[in-house]
Amino acid sequence: MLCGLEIHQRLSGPKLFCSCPCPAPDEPLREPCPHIVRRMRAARGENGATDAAAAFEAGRERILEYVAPSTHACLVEADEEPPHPLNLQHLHAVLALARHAGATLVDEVQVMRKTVADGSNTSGFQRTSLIAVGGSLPSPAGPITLETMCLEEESAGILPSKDGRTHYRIDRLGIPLIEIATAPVFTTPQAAYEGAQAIGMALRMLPTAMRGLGTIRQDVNVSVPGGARVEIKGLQDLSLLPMLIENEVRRQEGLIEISKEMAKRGLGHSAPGPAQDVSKLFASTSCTIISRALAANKAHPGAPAGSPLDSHSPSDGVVLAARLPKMAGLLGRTLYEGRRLGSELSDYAKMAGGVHGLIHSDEDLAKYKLMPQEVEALCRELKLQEQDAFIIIADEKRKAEPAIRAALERARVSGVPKETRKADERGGSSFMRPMAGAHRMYPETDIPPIRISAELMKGAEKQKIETVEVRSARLVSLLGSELGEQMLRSHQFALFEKLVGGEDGAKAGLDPKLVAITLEQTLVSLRREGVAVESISESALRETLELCAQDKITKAVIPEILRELAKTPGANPEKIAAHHHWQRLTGAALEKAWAESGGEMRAFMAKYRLVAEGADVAKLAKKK
Amino acid sequence: MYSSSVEKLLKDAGVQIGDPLRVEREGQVFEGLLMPRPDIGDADCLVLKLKSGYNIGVEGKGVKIGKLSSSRDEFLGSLPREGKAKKADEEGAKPNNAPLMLISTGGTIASKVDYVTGAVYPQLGADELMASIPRLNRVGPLKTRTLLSILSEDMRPEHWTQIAKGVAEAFADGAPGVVLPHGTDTMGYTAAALSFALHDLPGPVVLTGSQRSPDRGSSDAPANLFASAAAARADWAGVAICMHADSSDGTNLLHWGTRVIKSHTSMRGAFRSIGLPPIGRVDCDTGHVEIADAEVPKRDSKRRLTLKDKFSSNVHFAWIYPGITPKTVEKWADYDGVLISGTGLGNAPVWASEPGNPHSILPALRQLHQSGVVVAMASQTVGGRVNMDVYAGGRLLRSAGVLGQRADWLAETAYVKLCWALGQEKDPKKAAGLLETPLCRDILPRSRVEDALPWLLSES
Repeated sequence: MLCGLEIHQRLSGPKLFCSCPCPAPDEPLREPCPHIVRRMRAARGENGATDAAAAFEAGRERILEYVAPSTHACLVEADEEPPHPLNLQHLHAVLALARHAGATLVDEVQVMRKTVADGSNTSGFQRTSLIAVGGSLPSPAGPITLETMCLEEESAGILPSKDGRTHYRIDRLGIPLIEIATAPVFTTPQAAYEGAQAIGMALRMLPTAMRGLGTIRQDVNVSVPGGARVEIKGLQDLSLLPMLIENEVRRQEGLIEISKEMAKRGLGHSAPGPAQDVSKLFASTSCTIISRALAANKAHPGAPAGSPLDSHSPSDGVVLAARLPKMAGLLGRTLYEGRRLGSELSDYAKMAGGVHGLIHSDEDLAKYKLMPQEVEALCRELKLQEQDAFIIIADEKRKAEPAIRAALERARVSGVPKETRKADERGGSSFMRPMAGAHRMYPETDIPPIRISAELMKGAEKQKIETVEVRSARLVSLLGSELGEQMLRSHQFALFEKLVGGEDGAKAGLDPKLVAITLEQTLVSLRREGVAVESISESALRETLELCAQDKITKAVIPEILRELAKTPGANPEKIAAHHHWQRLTGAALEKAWAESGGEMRAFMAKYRLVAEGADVAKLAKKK
Repeated sequence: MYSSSVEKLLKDAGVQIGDPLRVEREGQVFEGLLMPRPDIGDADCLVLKLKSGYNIGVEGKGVKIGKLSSSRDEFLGSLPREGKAKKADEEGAKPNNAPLMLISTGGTIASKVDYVTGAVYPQLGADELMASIPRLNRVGPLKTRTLLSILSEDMRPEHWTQIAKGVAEAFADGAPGVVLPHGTDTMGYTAAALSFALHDLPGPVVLTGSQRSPDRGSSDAPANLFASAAAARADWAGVAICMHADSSDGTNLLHWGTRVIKSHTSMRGAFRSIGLPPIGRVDCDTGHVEIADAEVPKRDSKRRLTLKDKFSSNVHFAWIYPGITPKTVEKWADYDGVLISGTGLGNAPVWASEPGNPHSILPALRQLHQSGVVVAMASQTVGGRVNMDVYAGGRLLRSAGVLGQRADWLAETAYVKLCWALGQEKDPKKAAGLLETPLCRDILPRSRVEDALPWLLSES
């Protein structure tokens, strides 16, 4: 197994190509904002070819709705004004990091457009430029060889989709990102995990590295012998990286196994498909998925009269099915837990057509309320033979057609297709789009090339980068060796620095140890219990710790408040404490409670564990 | 262009633009396709396209270069196959209809990267333009012709003549309508020019363009071309501009050719109707066209088009500003006509309260008029009517022969009309008569209250 990493670190300050300020990672979306509706198309690359990934995304013909908060987005983000010149402050940062890593700088920077047709960039491309190649960054296991260092713009933030439209907020668009790609140097999932941590830490040494949740992201490339290079994006939690890689290895090995089995079965000349309209077989079905799709026929009357399109009725519901020769038993084969070849085909259908999924013959068809006689009729209609499998997609015609086309195209691929996949929250991944290639790059014609000059390098020298050793020593002196080392490696480090009063102007005075324990132990054990700690905002966490610092609550009640915050994100910690009577007992109130309890320390603490601080009670006990 | 030293290096190594090559410097190796060098930037830097698709610049001094044995396709990976136009689109085509004519003139809508400057330049022909928008055939068959490939700031009155002739030929060939992709900067001028040059049009002439070039996924070109083709098939006749109503892809507006300006440098919804609401709108998804203006004539294939396509190229378009001097005005004597874009109601510094003030441009204007230069007034306020009776200065201007009293024309339209009038008539008096005769609603007799609020109406 070989694995490489792509690490993206956001930089703070103005945006890369305009004068808007960058929003904080947890910036709330305050409506009303202007909403802009657009469509995206696959534009051809510099050499005239359309990139496969872009064509795939554009083929989805989605309607995009962009929300533009005026505090952090202007006409540049709205794709209504050409970009301003690249902000040199951010170029200085990358140049400084490149020197720090011993990388070779290019002599002239060319801003490129990387075609992105999923709508996450209003322009249809991401602006990116290659600044340096080679170099290495240190890690406990030895130096990590780097391939490239790029400066690029962040994409727009996706919002829950509504009314069949894909929604994005464009305040996030244009935040500067440093992208570091390593060579495929990691041979075990654990090594990749440690490598990601080391690179992440090195990136955080940059003075302008943005801190907070979501400001650093890791993509991973995995390939196994006989497999293909697969890129997995969108990993939210670094601790899932080893599992993600392991699952990907199993998936690729499983797919290779299946292709061997197919070769053994001997496909001959029959390829999967073609798709057939089998709607008439299911006129009186009790299968909910199918009957719901067919009911849509009555719901949508079609395009308005007078339009050139009124000959179509793309919103009609249809049931499409296709034969997959000699694939019986293979669709249901487990690649890793919860993932089968059938799910891979289903991903293609979902992404290409926006359908909910597909039904295949290796599934328990009774669970869809498909009657045996319906299945029999279908097998007859498709002329199914022994060892053959089938797939069914029921949805509006305009969705079902591209969906089954994509699923069949996937079924025709033997082995591991080159793909970009999306990580899920369980350490698995699903198909996102075909792997993008060189054809998606086009020069950014709105920005002239930038010569790396002595003056630029002078600017870079001003950006001092702390070494990991120096920072490590600082943390050990604050937290002791065990917790200090833990914090140095922690992906919560940035938050830790922020909470203890780093450079971000946070209210100082939070006890470093309390912060470290909360981040590294309390939150971790809460997550293990199944508490949705990711929904606790950074500001709520800070407010909770501040209550403790102000002696308004005890340390012991912090987990309880966090538990409540996870349940109702956006709630106020102080109000939670008041509501549950969790305010810390001090002075006369504590003395009164102590007196009424009979003065037995153990019994008292059992009763008042959440509101009395042990040290306070011990003092009272001594007094007595 | 590369510098001569880099050119020599490349020649010695037998490397040409587009070849994969290897560049070595102090142990660092770059492999990439050699790209053309834009004139901007450092001519000593080799531009390489790496395997990843990134372009970088590598200083050509002190490097060793060599050609790689792989072909261009082997290096970058073979080109992905092109998707075919969807079958649904073919079903939508109406083959019985006579084909529309699409006459390309250039502009951003036909632009892609230009390796001379590194910026975009119009170099897509009408065919390529159409091929990039498979949806276009939903509105029926279309013929194409590439007439010009220039940016609209380079347009001259001679080009208006050329375009007007092209349109007339298209209608003579039986086209039911004409679509004219055009640069957006002076699209309003061309729309006015065609309004004056093409009399008794049998069908629609629709100018369109794009504010985002078609080499990007977000381009407004596909929606604009589709909407324009739909508008060119609809039941009306005349010249109009069809562009986005606002920032969203969804609705396009049809602006009457003599009453439209570009009011923003970069936004999709830059075009606005002035003094007259947009004559109609087009749904960019369905192609449904709604003509809201009852005064717009219906199409009529029996109507015989008359071509009055001569324009003078010797007209000056002058802007009045604080500090303009009589000396400046005296220099206009070589022109056949001058359109003055005055302040407010049609004013200029003539020092009515202080006759003989040396800063007054009145004597110079009077001299122009007396020497046979046709001088006319429009206002730089964009909206509203010229009225040179309100202030004493205005009355002096009129007495000095300045035309345009009570015209609510747009300054750009008035300039084009002066070019046209002087193209039709050499005699200044006759030209002046033509100029002041309302044509194609360039001068409206009355300004309706709701039409005088164009900012509200064109956004509604």
